[in-house]
Amino acid sequence: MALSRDAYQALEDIVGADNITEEPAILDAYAFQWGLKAFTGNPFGIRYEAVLLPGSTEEVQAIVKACNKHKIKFKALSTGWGPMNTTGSEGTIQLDLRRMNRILEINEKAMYAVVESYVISAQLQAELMKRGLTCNIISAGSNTSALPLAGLMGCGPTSVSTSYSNRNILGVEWVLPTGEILRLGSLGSGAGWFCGDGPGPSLRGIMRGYKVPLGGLGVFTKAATKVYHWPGPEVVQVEGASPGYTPELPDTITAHYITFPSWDKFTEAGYKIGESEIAMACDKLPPWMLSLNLTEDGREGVQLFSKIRSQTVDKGISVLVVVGADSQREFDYKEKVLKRITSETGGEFLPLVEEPATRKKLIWHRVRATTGARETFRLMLDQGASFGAADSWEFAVSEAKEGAKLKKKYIEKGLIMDDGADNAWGTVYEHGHMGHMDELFLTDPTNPASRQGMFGFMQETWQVSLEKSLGCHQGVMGDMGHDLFGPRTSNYHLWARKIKKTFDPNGASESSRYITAEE
Amino acid sequence: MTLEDCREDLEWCSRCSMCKFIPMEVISGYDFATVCPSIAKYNFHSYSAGGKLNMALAMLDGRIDYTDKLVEMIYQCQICGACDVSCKYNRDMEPLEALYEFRMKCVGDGQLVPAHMIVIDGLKREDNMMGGSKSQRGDWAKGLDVKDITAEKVEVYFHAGCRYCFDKELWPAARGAVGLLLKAGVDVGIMGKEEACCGGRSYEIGYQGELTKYAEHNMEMLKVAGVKILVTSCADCYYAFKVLYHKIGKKLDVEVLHITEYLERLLKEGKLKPAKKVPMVVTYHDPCHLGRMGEPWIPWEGVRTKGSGQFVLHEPPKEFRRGTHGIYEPPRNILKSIPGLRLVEMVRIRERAWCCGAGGGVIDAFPDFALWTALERVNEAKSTGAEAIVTACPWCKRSLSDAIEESGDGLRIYDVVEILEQAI
Repeated sequence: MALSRDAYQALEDIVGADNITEEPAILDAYAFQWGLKAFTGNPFGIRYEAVLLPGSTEEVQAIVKACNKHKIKFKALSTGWGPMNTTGSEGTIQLDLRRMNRILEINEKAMYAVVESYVISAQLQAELMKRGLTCNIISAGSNTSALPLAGLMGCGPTSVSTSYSNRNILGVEWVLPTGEILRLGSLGSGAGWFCGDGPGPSLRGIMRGYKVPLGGLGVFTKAATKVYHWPGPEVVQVEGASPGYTPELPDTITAHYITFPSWDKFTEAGYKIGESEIAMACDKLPPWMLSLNLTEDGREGVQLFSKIRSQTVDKGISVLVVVGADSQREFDYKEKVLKRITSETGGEFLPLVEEPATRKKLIWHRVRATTGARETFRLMLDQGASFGAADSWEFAVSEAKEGAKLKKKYIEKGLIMDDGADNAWGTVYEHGHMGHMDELFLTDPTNPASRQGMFGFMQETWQVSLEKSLGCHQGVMGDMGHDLFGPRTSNYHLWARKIKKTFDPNGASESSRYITAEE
Repeated sequence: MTLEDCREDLEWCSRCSMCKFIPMEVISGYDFATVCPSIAKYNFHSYSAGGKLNMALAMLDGRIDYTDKLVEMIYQCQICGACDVSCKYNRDMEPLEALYEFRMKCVGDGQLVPAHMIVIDGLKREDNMMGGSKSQRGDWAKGLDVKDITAEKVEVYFHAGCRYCFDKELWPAARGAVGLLLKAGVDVGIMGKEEACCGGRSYEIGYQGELTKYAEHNMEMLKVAGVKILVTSCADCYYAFKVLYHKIGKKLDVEVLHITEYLERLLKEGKLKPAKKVPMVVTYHDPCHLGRMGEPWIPWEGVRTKGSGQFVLHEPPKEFRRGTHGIYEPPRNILKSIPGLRLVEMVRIRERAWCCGAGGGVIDAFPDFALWTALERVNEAKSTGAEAIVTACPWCKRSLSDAIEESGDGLRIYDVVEILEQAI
């Protein structure tokens, strides 16, 4: 279903001929997402009818109004990583926001930064570090948008000290599905970007919800994110050449990889680390991911995992803790507290990460979040994630426990890659009272049995979550999933649907990955 | 190899967009974070390496057919290899190989860029990529007291390359290189009008057969001449002689050195002594073909197998070229040896250097894009406070000189050789 010439001309008039295309090859580049292959057998999803590159909020607004007028659906993306960026509907146009890539403000005193959609986290963090600040970076990596509305739950390796997107988001500029512009929080009353909840309208829950609307509720064009203290250098000098860089970090930033003898001890340590506020990162980086993180090719990663397996995954549950301080005294105190917690909970430090060169490399990989694709895709496996509800730390750990238990069965059958069963990534945050865990699993998409294993595992984890009230998985997208989880989770799906209907009366904002208005 | 042989890599692009940026570890600010000129200029995802891989897969799957726009997108790319480095920071795959194969498929299918057809016609007629007459190829060296290796035996052969031979403004650097070698007592010779193209650029625009032809020709010429070392001042030629010839199974039986490698050797041996001060602040532009692309070819023949029945491993183990071992230090060491000269670095250097804009046939077919790319580099150079850009490739020097002229800046540009000459 090609766009009518009237509609195309109207859109071209807004962005200019260079910034709109119907070229089939370009449309296919936007239809491709690796994750689709596992589900449909084809990495290409439904083609968009056209792709547009708006350069400003005004252009986005005009496009959205034109879509309403011409009865076209639209969907925007920022850096565009993941199958949620595809459309589930014919007749949709894609708005690629990459021309909207400015850092608009860094307010050192009020500690926030305002960005457009296509600023990546590495750029923002690098600018912040020059000012003694840093930001939360989602676990996918610093190659993704710094907008605190990109990503799902929005937590990352340093969330214990930099919180998560839902909390970090302050003022927001939002082009609604009808084309109106809504400015939230203090921005809505002309008071600047410093607060998400006023003075001015606070629609945090509606706008973002439990997780973001995945392009299904208009377009977020600018947002402020809270920023945090960075105790390291203004620029982390990096020697050498890719991929084996050697970062220069002060001795007052260190890391330990600690393995605890049981889930209970791990949970206890997580609470204590969170409550004591000593950590820059408390990152449950599983041994499999650690092995790939620290090595320069897949084979080395597999070998390293084999080497550290007996010291980590076979012994208990591991976490990476990064400690950073402004002074030696502060550093000594934090290290002392961490050692005390480790001792009280029976933790053991992994000698590999106690080596200075390895440690520095690992710290920088995690603080900058550089290796997401390495830890998941390097070995040409299909990576999936299950669970991932945002709740208390103990609740999150209970998800990881269930995930590991279920996964063992599939590993034993040879259907899911043997990562030692414990491959949950997560973090404690909000000073220990909140936590996140998603159970990562790796399958071979070229092997039908492995694909079936993936579906089976997903299905079982969903079932377990429903039976044991383990919350809504972060990966639940679209009507079917929400209609399944909603009735067990305060009927949120009914509310989400009402929001969708109210904010998008013409159904212009393509929302098959979010929730549609269909009952 | 064919594009079909790249299918697994095409399917395994994770669409992470790393190919659009320098590796995340080395991003040091908002500016100069991007690495791919093509996506930076044209913006649609399809211009990135990832996007091109997506389009290549769509073509193999029969989802799309050639259009003028598609061919244009494939060629609006310097094929500079920066995407390959950034992708391979995390991945064990070969995006650059897929980009080459996509171009070769275009040529094989008769999908040709008119400007490239003219260049290739010239190459076939006159053995050069510049549209010059073969009879004038040796003019750059007129008056130099240097041996002709077609007539005399020498130890070192200096290959000027098409750009130096036919771009008169650049002659001083080529003449200077020979002059320095002679000054150091090197037994060096040239081939004059008998010199032929290396074939590298034609390979980059998809004409694989031309590379084979010139590789065989040059192998034969060098064998007859009996030289031990081939030295070139052109980064493109260096890449062809050292990397591409090896890749296609025509590894030269001589040591291949870039002029900066050889001059660094001569400095270490004390055969050249930079004594005169050159009071200047300079920044160094790494040519793609000398830097990340200049690392040795690593032959590998094998299969992808399944480890633990699941993940992909290469058997026998494959060592990937990730840009780690390019020629980065020799030019810098030469500059650092010069009294009074101060080297300041740009953000995008070494394996993550921003291209000058000329490569991959862009300067021939899309000169505006070449100029835009070079202007970006000139702006980056200016941001360091340098008075001059120094580089080590005639294509880079041409492209950056054009950009400096266009911008009207007072920035100067030199080849490393020209700076060293001033000091000796």
